[in-house]
Amino acid sequence: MTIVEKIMEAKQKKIKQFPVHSNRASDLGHPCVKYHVLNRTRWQEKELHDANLQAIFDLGNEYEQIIMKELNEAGIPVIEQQRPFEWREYQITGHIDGKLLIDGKTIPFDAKSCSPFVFDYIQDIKSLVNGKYPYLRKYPTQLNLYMLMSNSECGLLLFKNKVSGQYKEIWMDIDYELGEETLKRAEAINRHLAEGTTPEPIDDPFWCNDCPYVHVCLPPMDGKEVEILDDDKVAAMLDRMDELKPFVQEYYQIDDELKRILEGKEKVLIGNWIITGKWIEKKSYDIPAEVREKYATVTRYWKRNIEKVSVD
Amino acid sequence: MEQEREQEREIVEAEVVDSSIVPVAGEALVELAAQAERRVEAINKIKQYSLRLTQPGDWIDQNGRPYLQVSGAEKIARLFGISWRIDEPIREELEGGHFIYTYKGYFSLAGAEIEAIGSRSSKDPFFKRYIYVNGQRKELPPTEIDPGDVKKAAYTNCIGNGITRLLGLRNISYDDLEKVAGIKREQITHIRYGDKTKQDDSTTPAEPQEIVGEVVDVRMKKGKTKAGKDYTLYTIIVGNDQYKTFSETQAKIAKEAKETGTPVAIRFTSDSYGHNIESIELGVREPGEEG
Repeated sequence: MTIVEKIMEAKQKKIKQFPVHSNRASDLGHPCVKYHVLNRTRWQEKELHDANLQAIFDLGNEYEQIIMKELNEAGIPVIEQQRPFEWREYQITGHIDGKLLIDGKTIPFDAKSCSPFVFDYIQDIKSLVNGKYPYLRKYPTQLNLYMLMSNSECGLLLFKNKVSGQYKEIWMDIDYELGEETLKRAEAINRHLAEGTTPEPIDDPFWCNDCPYVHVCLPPMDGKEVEILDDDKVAAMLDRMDELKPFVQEYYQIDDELKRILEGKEKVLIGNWIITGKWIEKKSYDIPAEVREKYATVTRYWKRNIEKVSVD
Repeated sequence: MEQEREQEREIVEAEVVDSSIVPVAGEALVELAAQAERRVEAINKIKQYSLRLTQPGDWIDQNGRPYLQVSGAEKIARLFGISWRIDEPIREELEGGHFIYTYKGYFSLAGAEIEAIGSRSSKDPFFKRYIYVNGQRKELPPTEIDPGDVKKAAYTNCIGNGITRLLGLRNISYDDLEKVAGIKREQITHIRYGDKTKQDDSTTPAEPQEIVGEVVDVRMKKGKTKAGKDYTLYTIIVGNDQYKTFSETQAKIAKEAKETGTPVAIRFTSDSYGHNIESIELGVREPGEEG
């Protein structure tokens, strides 16, 4: 056995599934009630994650320690570290990474380490609510529950880039609408548990495709069948469009750069080109939303997505 | 172009199973035949596109033939809109505390429906758990095998079987794969690390490479070194290549792989004497794959 194999074997040994006796705050952002019911009733059958993912989890725990140390070094007091929470009425449990003591206020926060790609992707709480990955979408629900449970008006998700070590702070105001939605979900889970029933699953590939209970849930797959067009002309047009794509991107890049350089210059001679410009005034109307709503009409358009499926 | 298409059509045969046969006559029969023809043609086209959609990483080599992994099959299924429904699984108890899960599914596309099953046994080496005591590998009892893993693998196996059967992607040859998808055999079986040119440079230490495949044979040769010391050299044959090791443990893993038909991943370096094994690993396939 190589050293790497031994390490991975040790990771593998850590992977265990424990009984689930409550609705975990960190998981309640998952919108499928059936998933949660199965998590409580058939947790033994959950597909376990692999050693590679375990390695990422372990690294995340290490980073959490680093984040706490660096907050301490920065003189930011952290209290109630790893304090467990329980909301008995809804059978919700969780534990919070800590609370920051800022200007006499306590702010619940959760420390998250992430890849450089995710670090760049995250800009605000919306980018998490609509996150690219299921786990990102669970973060706001988790933090919101901590805020609800601790009567805090705002909370913080502190992200650390695992490669560069840089930080990004994503603040969140308490979201009562999200809170109500989450608590209703918890109530629905608890009701099914009490009555011994299993709800219908959601039908959303975003959540279903990698669901660890797919082999228990057995959701039917209703595929939208593809229509194959035998049209060489259209196929050639798409190929040509693809060939031109880099040029379009370069064109807009240069155009943006030129706009920046030449803004405010009324008449310029440069190389083979003469460039003129002037300020144009544009009138706009700030109409209150309720007035605008009265004049709203619904139109429709065909939204298409072109994706290359084969390389030949 | 037309000739090429004809050739491509020959590659994959439609595997259409109608769920019932209704007696018909006259024009209705002609219409039915025309419908069936259109259906076969549609499925054949989808099969050709399916192959072109795949990447080398979607395939593994099993018994010298390319085998589409479940992840690749699911990718194709999503794109073409294959529908399915799966029955509740059946669990059977086997001797020695082992068990087997079987799923049955119904897969449809372009009006054709087929049935497929997928099963996985806890006896599969992929699920076995081991502990190492004084450097010796010891197999843990079946109670230590995670039933959820076996169950999920059976489900995945069913999905993979259904999709590949429906699309007729089960008996593809390397020639077909290269002709239609441009994927060559060496892209599937060899995962190379580092720059090949460096490996060919005798002054540079050889970069480790990895091969994934099935063990054809394990041979043993005993001898004495010049210093008079006994040695045992094991030769593990994968495909047409030979990989050498002095490790009895590695030879045992290879033997087990050969007996169970489980693919192995061999990490090796090459020199003027051949390929020398650095490590060998069982069960490189994903849970749910056939084999």
